[in-house]
Amino acid sequence: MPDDLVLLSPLLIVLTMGLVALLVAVFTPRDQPKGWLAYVITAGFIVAFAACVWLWTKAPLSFDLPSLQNALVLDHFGLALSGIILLGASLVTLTAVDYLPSQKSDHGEFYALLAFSVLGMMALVLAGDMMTFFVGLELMSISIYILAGFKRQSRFSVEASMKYFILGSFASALLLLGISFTYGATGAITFSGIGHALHEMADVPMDIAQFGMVLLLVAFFFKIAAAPFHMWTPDVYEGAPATVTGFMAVGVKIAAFGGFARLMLTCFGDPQFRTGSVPWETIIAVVAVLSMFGGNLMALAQKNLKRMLAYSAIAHTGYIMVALLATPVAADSHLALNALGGGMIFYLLGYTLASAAAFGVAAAVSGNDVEDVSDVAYAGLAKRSPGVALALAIAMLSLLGIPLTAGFMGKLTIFQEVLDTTGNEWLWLIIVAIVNSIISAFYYLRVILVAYMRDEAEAKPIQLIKSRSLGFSLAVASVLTLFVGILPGRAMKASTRAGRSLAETTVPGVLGSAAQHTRATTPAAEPRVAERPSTETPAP
Amino acid sequence: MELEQIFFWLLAFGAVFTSVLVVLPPGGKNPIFGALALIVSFFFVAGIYVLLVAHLMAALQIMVYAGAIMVLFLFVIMLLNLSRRELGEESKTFTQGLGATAMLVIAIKAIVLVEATADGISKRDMALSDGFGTVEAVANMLFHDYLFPFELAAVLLLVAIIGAVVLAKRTL
Repeated sequence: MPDDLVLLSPLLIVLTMGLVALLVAVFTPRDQPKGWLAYVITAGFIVAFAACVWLWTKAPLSFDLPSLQNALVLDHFGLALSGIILLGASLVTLTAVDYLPSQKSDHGEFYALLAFSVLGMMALVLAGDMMTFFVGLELMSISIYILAGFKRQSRFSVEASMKYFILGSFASALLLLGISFTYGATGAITFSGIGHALHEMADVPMDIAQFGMVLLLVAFFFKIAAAPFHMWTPDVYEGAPATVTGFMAVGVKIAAFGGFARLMLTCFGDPQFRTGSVPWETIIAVVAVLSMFGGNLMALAQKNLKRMLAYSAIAHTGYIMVALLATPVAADSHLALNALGGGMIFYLLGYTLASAAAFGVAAAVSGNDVEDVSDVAYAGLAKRSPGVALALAIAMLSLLGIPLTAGFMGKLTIFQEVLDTTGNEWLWLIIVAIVNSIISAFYYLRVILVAYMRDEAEAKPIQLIKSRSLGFSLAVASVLTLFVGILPGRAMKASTRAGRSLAETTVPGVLGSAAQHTRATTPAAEPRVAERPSTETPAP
Repeated sequence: MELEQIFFWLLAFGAVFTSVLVVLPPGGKNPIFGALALIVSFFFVAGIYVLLVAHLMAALQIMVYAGAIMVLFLFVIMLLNLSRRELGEESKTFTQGLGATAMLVIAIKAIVLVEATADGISKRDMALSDGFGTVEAVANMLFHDYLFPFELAAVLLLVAIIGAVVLAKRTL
């Protein structure tokens, strides 16, 4: 059994890099460029990613961490999501190197906060009890509040930060209230403990547990920007610096989805509870429909690229929530274990890659000081900078879900999975999702049209940020989007494995999480399936 | 009604009442009133901790919150020295009313639920362990049971400090 410190290495590496960046920034003269810190941080992310891959190959089912009282659950699910978060964070960090100086906000603290935020996200997706869950969520959120206001001379940036902070704190308060009610009802603070109490149903007042669950759901909807809790999204996405917006799309969304998926399935996944008087699947289905329609219809009217992407993010939240419906049902019937939960993880991977590219382009065209990403900023982009335009086109096609891109495979997997596991119960929801995908074609294709067809003369003379690192980040994101879209086999296998581990280790009453409680710490001598996670970056 | 229950209702009512005063201060929009109401609220909550036999928590609540943090709040409010004009006009919009109603409904729902199932509240681990609420017990919780979240909270505080500097310092 590896040492606890070895098991925690992905988290520790990220923490160390954040502290190093902070210290180095303090001792660097004010007028020196800080861009090289981005490379340091990215190197840290890549090493942490490698550590995740190594742990993945070693992981039995999930590692126990007795010395930490199982505050963390290091299973394939958490490791895969950590890997995706680290990949997205690396791509976003590289776009900041030349973007921040152009916005006159080149400060080393940016990179330190980025690393700390990633630490919070990883704690969130690996959390095994409410304490770790909450502290990880807050660490992530507070870092993002600060990052959103990082362009201090911009009124919109400060407004975005303030708005996000106030509404985010309110959501956190509801989350805490939900945790209190759940604790009051079950007397347990670990996810598996709560799941057990609700499974046995002895001495547990169900009404109070359900009330707690609803409050937790509200906080969840807020964090992932699902309609009708999405009001903050467009303003914050538009006002925050483009790299931070990209980070919110690739990091916060994945971490929140991962953390809450584990929480919902482990604590409230019990079939009897799930279909009780407050069926949370129905709540999620309704919110998914609202998010899809709300996001897509509002996105049609947007002329600003960042604002459009904000509404598109709301719509994608809806699609991913559809995937949440497949998992618990699949967990009940042992048969479907192979098709379990992989869809969500695969979709998140595709969404990360496409968003990183889209916001990278937004950073590239936003010009000096003023941040204007309306049509005029990227009209005729294909002639000015064919590479950036191509990256934008691939990102848009992937978000839309055109075959040969990761986005298409993601949508297909989710729909297939839901139909396979639940029969025709959610068929109407799939149809709604497909209708919405068609609606979204209008605004995604419009962006490509503006970039390729509009005359350059219409464009405002905005100077593109010339940046080698940004170009590299765009190239990696685009290539991976196509790679995962054309050859999804390995990524699919890994995400299926990750989804299965969530069900195996956590859903009570399936494969007996009682076994998980008492399970002896099996040495990693016999790694089950030595696959590598989906998020493998190709060697440069 | 037992004596403990009478105390609980007094303290709970006081805590809720003063908390409402924080957001709706009696002296118009002067934020000082809100801050002072918050101090009183902290004392009531500390009283509830005493009822729960969490003596250390009660002491910390008064020392840290009512003492240190509130002084900081008052300093900030007085240093900002906002004029009545800067605070803006009192506005009562439809949305605010809607929000208040929603909160009220949630509160009533919670009360009804807890009342209805008061006997059904989990009996698990209800017996207090030896030395509950002592310094040793709390330390054991922090450095043994919840070691990881505790360490993570340290990073959280560091981030908060960086945030204050990043957002407020004139030249970074």
